[in-house]
Amino acid sequence: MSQQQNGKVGKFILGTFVGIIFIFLVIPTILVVPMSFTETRYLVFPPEGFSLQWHQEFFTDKRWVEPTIFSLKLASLTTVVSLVIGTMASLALVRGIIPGKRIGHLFFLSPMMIPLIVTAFAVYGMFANLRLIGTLPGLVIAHTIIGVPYVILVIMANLYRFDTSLELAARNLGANAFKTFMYVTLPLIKPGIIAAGVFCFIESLDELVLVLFLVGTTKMTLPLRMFSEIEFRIAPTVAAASTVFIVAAIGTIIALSFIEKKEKSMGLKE
Amino acid sequence: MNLTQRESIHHYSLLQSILLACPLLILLGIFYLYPLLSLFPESLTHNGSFSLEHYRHFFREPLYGFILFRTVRIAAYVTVICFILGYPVAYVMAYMKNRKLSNLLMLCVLLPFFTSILVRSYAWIVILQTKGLLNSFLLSMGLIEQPLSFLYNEIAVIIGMVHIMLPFMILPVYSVLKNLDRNLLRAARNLGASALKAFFKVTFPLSLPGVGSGVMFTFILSLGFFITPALLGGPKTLMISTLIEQQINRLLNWEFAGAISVILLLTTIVVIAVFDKIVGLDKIYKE
Repeated sequence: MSQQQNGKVGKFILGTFVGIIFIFLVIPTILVVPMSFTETRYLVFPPEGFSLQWHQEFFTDKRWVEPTIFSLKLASLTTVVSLVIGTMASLALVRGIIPGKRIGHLFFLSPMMIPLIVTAFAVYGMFANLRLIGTLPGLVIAHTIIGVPYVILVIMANLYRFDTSLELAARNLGANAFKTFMYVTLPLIKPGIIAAGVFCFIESLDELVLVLFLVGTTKMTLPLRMFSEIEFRIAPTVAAASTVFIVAAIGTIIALSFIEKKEKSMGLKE
Repeated sequence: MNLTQRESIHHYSLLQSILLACPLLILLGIFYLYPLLSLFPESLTHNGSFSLEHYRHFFREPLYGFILFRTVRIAAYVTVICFILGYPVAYVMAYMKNRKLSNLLMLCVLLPFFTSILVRSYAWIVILQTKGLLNSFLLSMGLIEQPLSFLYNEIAVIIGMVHIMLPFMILPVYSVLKNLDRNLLRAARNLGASALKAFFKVTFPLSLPGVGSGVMFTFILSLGFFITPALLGGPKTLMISTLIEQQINRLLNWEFAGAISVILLLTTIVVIAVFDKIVGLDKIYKE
């Protein structure tokens, strides 16, 4: 009996502890949502009154709209490029005969572990020489460097999950390597491609350090706009922009879990 | 670790494999590896000739050594705190029977993962500033009489970084715990081990691979953090990253910034190599 009581007390303490951590995890993330509806010109909590003016400013003011569109463009291009060359490299590493696989994949993953400020500073000189500073292609290249590791991580895990019998069957039936990839491998790793794409897109949309160095003076991304606003004054527009970010994030997570469910119902995953 | 790693039969020839890997190799070679390697000769130049001056300067000036030490210390604190906070969360999530609640908890863990680091650092400014949430709460409770300054110090940086790194600790540990063979735990209990003993003798040792990758990622990423210390630390709490930025943008001391970058780069590589020896970096695919 006393042991059972001990167990209950233990569970209660553990539950409370974990509950507090979840509050710590969630509150700062969603705190900005109510604050973005304040009527005041500065941020307060609890917000005073209710106004949509900061959201309106985010969606109509050129200072916010232009960086947002540029960031979306940059993130989309980065995602496409990273997915294509990342998937190709993953195929070589998992399904190919190639020397130095271990060192190769360490190298491909390293951009996510090397401090971004070091990469940014190193790349700056190179970009200045090639006149890539402040250009869309330059920023796409920079973001692809840090987007590719996510693609490699997800796609390699996906490729390891399937045995090659289906692919070999296609090859035996006369399909060439490209056709086999398009009709067999690609449909099998599609959920992985989607997940990797989402990671890449968010990574690029959120990235600030490389942008700080490589954006030049003519272009502006959304995180950079937010960063400069936070440094100088804390206006509620930043909170409105954050709210849009958070809503998009929740939407993405729900969409991803639907894809995962579909994948599960197809019996592809344990 | 539900992945059964079947021996994959290679069906791309050497030429095909090289062609497949080529675009990425070329891109990373030109725009990543070459620039990183160029940092070394650049940092070894002083007044146009070869010199160790910048490194000598770094290690002679106590301030810089102190900042390097602070960076490693903050990364260590963040890692330990993330482990202490993250392990119980991963444990409760992995052993939860209520599906709906566990899905909701997963959403809560993933949400910060998917929201901007900038947004979250900003939220901490709102909470910690003098007129912020924490101060008004403490004032209204009568616990303090004057607002305290929580922002722009090491503690603010650690809080902000723990908040960002916590999912990196929770997810790998959760993944390992979720896929543990529950029969092992049952066997231990049946043989008379108490719940606590069974946890420390069975569950915890078996979860160590997840702890390993969580610790590795938290520590390595914490070493290079820039945005959080820049926003929450203020000028008094420089970390190596913010020191590099200051040398480049404010003091225009590029060669010295190169030397600091090399020091941070080498520190990171040493840490990665050590973790690779202990944990094994190729383990990350098995989650």
